[in-house]
Amino acid sequence: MRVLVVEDDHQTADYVRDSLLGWGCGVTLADDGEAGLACARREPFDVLVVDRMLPKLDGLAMVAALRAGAVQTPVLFLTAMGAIADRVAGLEGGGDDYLVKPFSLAELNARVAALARRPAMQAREPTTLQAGDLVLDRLERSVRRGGREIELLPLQYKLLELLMLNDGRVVTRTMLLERVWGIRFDPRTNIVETHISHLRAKIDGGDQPSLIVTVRGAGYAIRAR
Amino acid sequence: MRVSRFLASTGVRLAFVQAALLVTVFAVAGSLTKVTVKLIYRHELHTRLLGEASGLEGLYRSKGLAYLAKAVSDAERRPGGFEYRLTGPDGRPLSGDLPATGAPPGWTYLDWDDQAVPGRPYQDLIVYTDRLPDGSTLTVGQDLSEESQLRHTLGRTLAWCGAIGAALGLALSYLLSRGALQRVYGVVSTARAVSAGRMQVRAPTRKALVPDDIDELGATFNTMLDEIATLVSRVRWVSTDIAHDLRTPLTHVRQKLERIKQSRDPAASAAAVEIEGDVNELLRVFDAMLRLAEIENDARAASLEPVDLAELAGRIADAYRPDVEAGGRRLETRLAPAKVEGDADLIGQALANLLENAMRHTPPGARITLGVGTVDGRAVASVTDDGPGVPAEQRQAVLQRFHRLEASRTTPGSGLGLPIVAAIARRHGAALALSDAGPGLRAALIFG
Repeated sequence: MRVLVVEDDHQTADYVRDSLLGWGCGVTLADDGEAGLACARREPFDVLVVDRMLPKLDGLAMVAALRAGAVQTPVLFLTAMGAIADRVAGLEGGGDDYLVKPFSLAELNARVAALARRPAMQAREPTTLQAGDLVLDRLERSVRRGGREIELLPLQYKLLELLMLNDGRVVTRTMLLERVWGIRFDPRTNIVETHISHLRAKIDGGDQPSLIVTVRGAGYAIRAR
Repeated sequence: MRVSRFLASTGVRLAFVQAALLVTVFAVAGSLTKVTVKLIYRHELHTRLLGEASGLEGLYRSKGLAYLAKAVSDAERRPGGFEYRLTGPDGRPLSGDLPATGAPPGWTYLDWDDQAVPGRPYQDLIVYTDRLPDGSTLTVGQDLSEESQLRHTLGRTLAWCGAIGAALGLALSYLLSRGALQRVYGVVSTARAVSAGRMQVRAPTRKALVPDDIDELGATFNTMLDEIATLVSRVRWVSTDIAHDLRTPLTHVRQKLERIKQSRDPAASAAAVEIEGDVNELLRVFDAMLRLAEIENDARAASLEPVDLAELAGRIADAYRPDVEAGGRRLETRLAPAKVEGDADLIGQALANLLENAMRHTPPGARITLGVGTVDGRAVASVTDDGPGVPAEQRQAVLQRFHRLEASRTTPGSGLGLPIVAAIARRHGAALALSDAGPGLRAALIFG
């Protein structure tokens, strides 16, 4: 996976690069909007990580120029500004996701991974998802574990579907909040944790370890042993 | 435009004042006219009566009393003529229909209202009595009912003219003021929209060759709004700059902590985890402050879209229910259809903050109700609990930043939850009303 990081703060850029390298990505750095634009036009990338405020060419303008040139690479905006106006401007301006600084590297990695998978997922909409003996049928909206039918509430189904679509990759708490509940703020309660534990209670059988793994400090992933 | 507001407007008040003035002027002019007409009529009547009397006296002088008596009888029979009475020197009536008047020589005004003579309904009479040299008396008079009829007709005509004039005046003022009024109302509704947070709205202007005072009002108002918008955006830049300046070092701190957390030294790693908790708490308060500032200052960028309040509240309730139940509380929903224009994410946050607030300030076993509906045509979303509630005198204070009730000092929270809800309400032109749920607290977002 190749990632272009366009960020003018060198310290942040270095951390992001190190972290992504640690995850096995190829990383290219650019420290202003013009350099980023030139780089993204020259080479193919899987994901662009773009800071909103950049010297020479603002992040929004850079992505707008890319999109005008029919470059459809998924873009993750990093923003230090507030979320409300930026979110709208960023997503309307061709961004696919955004992350407000300061972010955790786990969050960044999870989102970059999700974005990188997006084109492939869009091309091949799987109708059946599987993790071990857990099968989710997206046409019937049914869930089975080893032949046992599992009744899920609509939100639990949505939660499980998102985890299974990410196929072993970590989905963070904020990603779940956004995509399952449409919540774009930080709740001060354990919403996600509670829902996960209810979901675990339904899909896991007896004394086996849970299919849903908690990745400390990052989020959740579904992993069949 | 509502009738009450229309009636309360300056233009309509002016129209009524104008109409009242018109009616008064008409009334005064009318009474003056009536008096004048009466004077003229009387003067003319006097001349005619005097002329008739002196003509008849001439006949008497030249032809004698008998001839006069016959002439009076002839004159009496002429239609539309005067009324007469001729009595001889002995007081015996000689001719004429007038009953005995007992009037002295000269002018007399007789009010016979009560003693109408059968067949000749005299009411008011004016008579001129002339004593002839031989002692006979000649009386020539005129019934005044014609005059009073004339005056009545005149009065009616004037009254009608006054009424029609007043009505026309009212209608004209209405038409003239309506145009002006609507333009003034355009400025008023702009002012409302702006104070409701839609900073980009401007008063309607028209391209007039000669701008009138309302054009000037609109233009001045718009210039003022532009100035304010510039100031607000400057403030916004300042706050986003601060955010940027603070967030970058905070990002670094967090990144360094993540690195230390992975170190092989277990003591360092544990310390890093602990510090990270503190940093995260710091960040949460900082984020809440920035978010509050942003919601308050940046109303200009408000993204308005139709929001299905019931669906949104249902979603929030579904998200929070397991958590509420895990704390031993119950969450109920009463959702009736209600639609508003607004930012779904922000309204969702407001509802969530109210829910979290209710969870934080009620004992286990409490019942929390999330309600959505329409009251008097206004969409309302409310969170009601049956906990200890907030004393009436403190309800205003809990909406202030960092205000915590003494009883809740020990429970976690940023102290910004309710202020953020209040700011979100303001941004949507909605009211945040806290009331007693007897027992408990009811917090309602009442949309405009």
